Amino acid sequence: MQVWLRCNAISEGMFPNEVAVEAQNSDGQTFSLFADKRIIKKENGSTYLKVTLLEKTENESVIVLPTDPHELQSRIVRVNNSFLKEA
Amino acid sequence: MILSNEAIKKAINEGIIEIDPLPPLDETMLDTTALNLRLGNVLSVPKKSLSLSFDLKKGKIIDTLRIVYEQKEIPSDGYPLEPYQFVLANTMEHITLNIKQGKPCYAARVEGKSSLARCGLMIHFTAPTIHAGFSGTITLELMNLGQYSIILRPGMQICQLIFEAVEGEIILRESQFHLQRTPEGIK
Repeated sequence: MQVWLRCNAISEGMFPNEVAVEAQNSDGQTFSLFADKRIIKKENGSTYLKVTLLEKTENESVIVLPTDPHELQSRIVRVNNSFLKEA
Repeated sequence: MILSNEAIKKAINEGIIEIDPLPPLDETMLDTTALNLRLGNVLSVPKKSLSLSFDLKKGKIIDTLRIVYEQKEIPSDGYPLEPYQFVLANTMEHITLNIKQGKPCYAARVEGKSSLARCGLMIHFTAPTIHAGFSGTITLELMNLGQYSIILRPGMQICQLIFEAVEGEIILRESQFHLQRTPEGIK
């Protein structure tokens, strides 16, 4: 199932079709990755990245990021549900 | 198990593998067990003579990458990749390997093409895996290991994608990882 992950910031990527995305896991650690612009959306002043939801509990979810984050060892990341939005 | 050309078409038709723009699914792009992908129109070329090093423990690697590389559009008459020159490129096609519960799931590997390899072109270094759930264009690490320049043109067939079926569900069971806070699983 696809969901939208709210990003902390986006900036220019290394190719015209991509952006650099910053987001946060449930431990508060910021991670960043390059993502294609097609899986980014802006809504009500926030920016969202499309991700795959693997598991959802009361407060947290486990998601799969579309590409490798630079600061974490895995694309499988735990995030707070408040950062997620249904696709 | 590697997908055959017919199995690749089926997975595309079922929306499990998404490719945009979709290349013609004929013998020019679809081999017996691989899909050819084309070069995009921009290269990311390392700037010369910068005094810095990559340190993944210091600062944001994204910022360093942006300082080091500059984007260059590939001219219509081609970009000569000189011997031992390294550039980043991406595929024209945006690939999505969807994870859908109850449906087959695929990962893929990007590989070079033998015709270009014979000219000395390497298209990736040690990072060929496209994991299930990936979505994006594929970044290629191009290096000319030959003695002569290789002309890169937008839209040229640059690599091939080999799809593999993933066995077993991709689900994190609550008992396995739920609320784990360390790699060792200590809560």
